[in-house]
Amino acid sequence: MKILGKIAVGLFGLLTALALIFYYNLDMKLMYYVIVPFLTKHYDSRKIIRKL
Amino acid sequence: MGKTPFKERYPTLKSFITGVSPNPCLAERYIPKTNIYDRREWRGVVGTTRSFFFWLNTWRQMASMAMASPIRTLKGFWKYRWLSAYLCTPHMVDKWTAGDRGIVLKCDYVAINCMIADTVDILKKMIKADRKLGENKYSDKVIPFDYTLARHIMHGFPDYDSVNINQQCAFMLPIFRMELGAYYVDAAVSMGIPQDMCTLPLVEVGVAVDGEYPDLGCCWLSTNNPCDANMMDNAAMYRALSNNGAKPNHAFTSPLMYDDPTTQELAVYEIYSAINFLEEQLGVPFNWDSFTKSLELTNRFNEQEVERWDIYASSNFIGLNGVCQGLFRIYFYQQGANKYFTKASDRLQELFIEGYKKKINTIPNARHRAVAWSCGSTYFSHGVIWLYNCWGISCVINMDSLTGHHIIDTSNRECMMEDVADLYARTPMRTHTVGGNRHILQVFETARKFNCDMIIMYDDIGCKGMAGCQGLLEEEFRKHSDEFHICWMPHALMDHRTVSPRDARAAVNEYMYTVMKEEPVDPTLVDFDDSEGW
Amino acid sequence: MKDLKHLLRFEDLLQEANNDLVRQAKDEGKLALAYNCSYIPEPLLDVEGCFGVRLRAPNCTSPDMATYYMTTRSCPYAKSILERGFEGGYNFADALIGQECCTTMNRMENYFTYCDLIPNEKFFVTCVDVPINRTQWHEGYFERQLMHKVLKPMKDVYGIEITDEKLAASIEMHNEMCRLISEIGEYRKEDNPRITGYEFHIIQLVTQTCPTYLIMDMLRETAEELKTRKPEPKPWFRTRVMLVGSEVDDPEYTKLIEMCGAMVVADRYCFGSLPGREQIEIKEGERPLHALARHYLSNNMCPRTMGPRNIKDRKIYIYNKAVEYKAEGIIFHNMKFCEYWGYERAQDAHWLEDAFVVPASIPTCQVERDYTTAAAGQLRTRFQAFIESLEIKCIQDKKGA
Repeated sequence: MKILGKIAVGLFGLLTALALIFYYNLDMKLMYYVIVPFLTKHYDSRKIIRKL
Repeated sequence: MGKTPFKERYPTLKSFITGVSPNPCLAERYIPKTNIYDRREWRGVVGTTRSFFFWLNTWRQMASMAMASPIRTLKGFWKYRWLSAYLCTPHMVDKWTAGDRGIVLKCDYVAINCMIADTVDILKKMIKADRKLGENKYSDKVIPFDYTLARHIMHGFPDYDSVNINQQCAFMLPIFRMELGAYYVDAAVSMGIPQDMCTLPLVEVGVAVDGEYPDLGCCWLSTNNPCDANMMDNAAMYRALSNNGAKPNHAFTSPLMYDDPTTQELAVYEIYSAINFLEEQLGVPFNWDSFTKSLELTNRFNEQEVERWDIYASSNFIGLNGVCQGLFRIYFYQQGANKYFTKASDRLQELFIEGYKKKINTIPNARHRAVAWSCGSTYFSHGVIWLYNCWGISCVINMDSLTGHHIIDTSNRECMMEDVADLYARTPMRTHTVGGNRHILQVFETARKFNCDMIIMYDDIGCKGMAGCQGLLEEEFRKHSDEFHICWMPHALMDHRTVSPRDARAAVNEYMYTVMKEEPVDPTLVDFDDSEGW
Repeated sequence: MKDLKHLLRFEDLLQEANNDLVRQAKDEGKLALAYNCSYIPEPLLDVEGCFGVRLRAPNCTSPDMATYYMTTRSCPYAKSILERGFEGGYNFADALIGQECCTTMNRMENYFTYCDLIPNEKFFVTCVDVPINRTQWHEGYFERQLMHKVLKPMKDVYGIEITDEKLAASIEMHNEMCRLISEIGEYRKEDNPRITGYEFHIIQLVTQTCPTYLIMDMLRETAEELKTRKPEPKPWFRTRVMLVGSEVDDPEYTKLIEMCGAMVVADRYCFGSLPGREQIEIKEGERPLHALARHYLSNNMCPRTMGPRNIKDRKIYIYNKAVEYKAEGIIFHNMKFCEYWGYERAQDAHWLEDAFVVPASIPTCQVERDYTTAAAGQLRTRFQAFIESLEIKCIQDKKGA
């Protein structure tokens, strides 16, 4: 029972955390401020030989 | 966030619990200078919970794509700029469901989930099959089709897959992040192609010149659909998509004057020609039973779709908002009635019938019922949602939805192939814009059928086909000015720099203030700076 | 060089669509069949009782009415034709043999009906569906389209029966005209040509814009005259170029290039002779209409044709003609807003510079132009720079050799 209780609390905590991420749009903020700029910098630094 | 106090937005407990606010103030939710939420929309307890679980499901699907081939997926993200767009899928969902409540939110999520699931499936296939990420036996099994070429004939080769290669790699990009459209336009223009060309082919070519199309299949199919520019971009992409001529290509064309009976023999011939090409390349005979079954499923979907359109026309139950309605239809046209679309259509049908029977008004703030005509933009595809949320203009149907919905007679092969030829000719962005002025002028008949008092006329400034009939449209609009309000909404299809979403909004705002003399439903949405957004 | 006897006359005929010879043919009771596109078979329009006129709009600088209908973002060629239509410049036309090869051109052709431009109750616009792929089957389809869209309305509206015999006679006359033009064109291959690109352009345009039967004598005389014409003591030009692209129906454009010091030795553009002036063969047992369909479908180098073979063949054709006519460089141009040639120009230039699918690289120059030579200053600068670069390359090649 204790284990189940701990799992329930853990799940509740996880769900709350996810809900906060969802509501405060933290996933897209991470994309906007961190991930996309990082990837864009990488893409821009590549040397591409363009062909038509 | 928000200048408007909480109590003004939710004056009663009921409005907070249901999420229906007399002062939605949607634009106050954005991070300044963007269209990205600082706080996601509060849609009431039930609606927000639904949104939360949909968001979880979206991430789950994206994770499943990565988990299917984790190393290849990582390599793909490192290699392909366009693939990074899909990291912003939840943002796309936010844009496409802004202001949605109740049953509309349910319906939109059904449609969006279908499109996400289908896209994830396609991306999984592409990543798995892409020779640039590592050769494997599956590579030959996935046949690339041009974006606007419906893949129905591939249902006759059930052991093979196909993808509309330009759809995920090019067309969808500005829907997620508008600056990606601009990047690839620049790539194409850097090779000498004029910048005044339609931006959709430019983006497709831009991906090709950067060498970013996956290397798939043992052959590929191009098309003249929907227009001259797309015909030429197929030529321009030849080197990239054929591996410098190593991979066979077949031009699967259809006549422009598709409803001219003298052209029907050509339309049918080209289908048989495409089938013969695929039989030769794949080394297997065409499976007519499998093909016929897929067409029957397509028919079933279309029968349901037409019923939904009847509901749009005869009631205020507009179950899918304008962008979901349009993109769901375009996606379906390309893919055919696969498992995702069949399931989604069945569920939508249940919801629509429920909503219709209960006489649910999904557009309580609507002041105008509108038909959105001509080709809409990608980077501002959610413009139709803005029209409703800001000005109460409910786009009940759009031009690109009214394609490929004719029922195919599968009772005998000759009739079936004639109907399939018709299906192939009537693609999005083509059905009404080619083959004679009478097609584009169907706007009035359509507006009457759907009980609309307004026409939102998209003005794609790069579209030569539509530029050519501008005067015709102005004159015809003048003749119908007693019957309809007509508002032009400019855009540049894939390049937000030429006509930004703010510019497009400004054009509508001017019309609504000066001609219609109306006040906005949500004043915060009238003018805001989203130049640094997606 | 001594002036060609009929050049001034030819230049005069190109000043307007309804020129002396068109008026003469009309007075003789012939029907004027107007057209815009190189897919439309000329001999079909030149049958007994009719004559074909490829539409131009000389000196059209402000297509204001057309711009209202088609906006500033449409092909200026199509708009200029429409503008001239509004001005009454084509009131002589009895029919417009249109097509849906090019959307903008098709829109323009539709306006002839919508705006009721031609004061002739019997005037009609027809729209031929030209197939994009090219096989034997498509030749038959094109033939059937010509029957439905040209032969049938000509009979229904004007009572003109286009028989096999009439077609065969028209093809024969057309072939003679082609033979003469080709003979004249061959002189451009000489090291010191006895004809300029400008002169050839004038003559080629006249064959498309005037009734063929009325210019044959002048063509024959010109061909004869050229047999003995002496060129300049030494070549007047610094380099030889081929001109490739969309519509060039203004000989002043060729003159502009030649005044910069380059001779236009080959003309691979709409209104050009490469292709366009090959003789039409009627095979054994073949109907003349089918021969026309086969010839005009398979001989056309319009970028509209799809498929790997056609895409490559166009570049190979350009390369082969450049070599045949000893062009040292190629000027690729497109009419502004032309979707076909906007893409094709860029791709052709790249493939020829990179020697992709062609045996060797050829220097190229790319320009965009308006319908008239209004931006002559800018074009002149581009051409001069290109010509200088070709001269330098020539000098360096000689040094290397």
